[in-house]
Amino acid sequence: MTQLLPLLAVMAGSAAAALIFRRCRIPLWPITGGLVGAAAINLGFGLAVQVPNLIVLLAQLLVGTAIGATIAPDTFRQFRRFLAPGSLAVGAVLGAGLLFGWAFAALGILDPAEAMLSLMPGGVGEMVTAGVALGFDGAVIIGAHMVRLFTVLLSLPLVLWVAVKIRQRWIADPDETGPQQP
Amino acid sequence: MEEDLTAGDAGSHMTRLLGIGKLLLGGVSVGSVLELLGVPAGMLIGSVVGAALVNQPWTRRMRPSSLPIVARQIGLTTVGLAAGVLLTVDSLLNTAVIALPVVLAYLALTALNLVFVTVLMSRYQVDPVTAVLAVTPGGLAEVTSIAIDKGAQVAVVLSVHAVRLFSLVLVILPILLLVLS
Repeated sequence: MTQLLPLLAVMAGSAAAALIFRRCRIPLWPITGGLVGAAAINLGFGLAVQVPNLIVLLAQLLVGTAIGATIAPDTFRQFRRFLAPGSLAVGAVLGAGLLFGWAFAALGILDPAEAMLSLMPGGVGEMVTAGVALGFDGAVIIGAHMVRLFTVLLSLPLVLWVAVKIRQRWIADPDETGPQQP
Repeated sequence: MEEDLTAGDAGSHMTRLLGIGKLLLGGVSVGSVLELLGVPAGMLIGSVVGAALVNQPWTRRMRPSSLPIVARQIGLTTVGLAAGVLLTVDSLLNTAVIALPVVLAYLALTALNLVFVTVLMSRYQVDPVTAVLAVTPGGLAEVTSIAIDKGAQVAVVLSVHAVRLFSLVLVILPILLLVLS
């Protein structure tokens, strides 16, 4: 019961911030608003709330089910087709994460292990859990991943614009039409 | 006539509810199995697979269903909430110190990713939105939700991100832990 009221307060803050972000047309308002609202209430009132794992799993169920419902019959054929180039892109992303981790450590910005765990683009929960298990500062790892998420998501419109320009200039035929605009 | 319309509306409403129930049942079934097996993001990935499987037209009578958009928005808000409560004053202060180098690092990675975006568009005839979202190093839930909103090929985006997550957690992370410990 003692944890229920703080949890409800954080949930209310999260929902309110999400609706405000939606009104202000901030990108990804459910996630960004939910995150900012929860952090503001949790830190502002010193609540130190822990979200029950069941709630996290229910959230994943809702998101995953919504995604799964959009998958059409030819999806599985596409999966096989894109596995090779996708794996190559993944290898490059993970390799870049390792390289940045090494660079951050070499420049003295972060401890080597914290740098690796902070800059590998994986699940926040997995990286933080691994870091804490090794005795490193989970706060640094969380912060770095939050910066990653915001950087990546907020720069997305610009990246989409560049991709469309690349396609128009170097790839598409002049007569070609089709879904291009983000 | 009005009674027929009302009965029709009620039938349609019931059909929709049954469809939503079918999706959630499929999602929770596979998601629970993967979660119990300790698969990374097991519930998320499992619910995608389970909902996709039950939503295919296995018989002629079967029609695809969809989840109300508000359900996905609630799920995403809760994902944001779960991340937000992890932040502490210490993490915010530490983040302020490293924020700029992290931003620059990921902008550099984004520039590198444009190479793969170009390959996907030119060699595999993928549209720009799908190509960008497939290689964006964001969270699985966030990126695939954007893919739905922007009409991208969700399957392509999802498969690349699933490979990334599995590779990282099942291969890279154990090696890192071994080396770092």
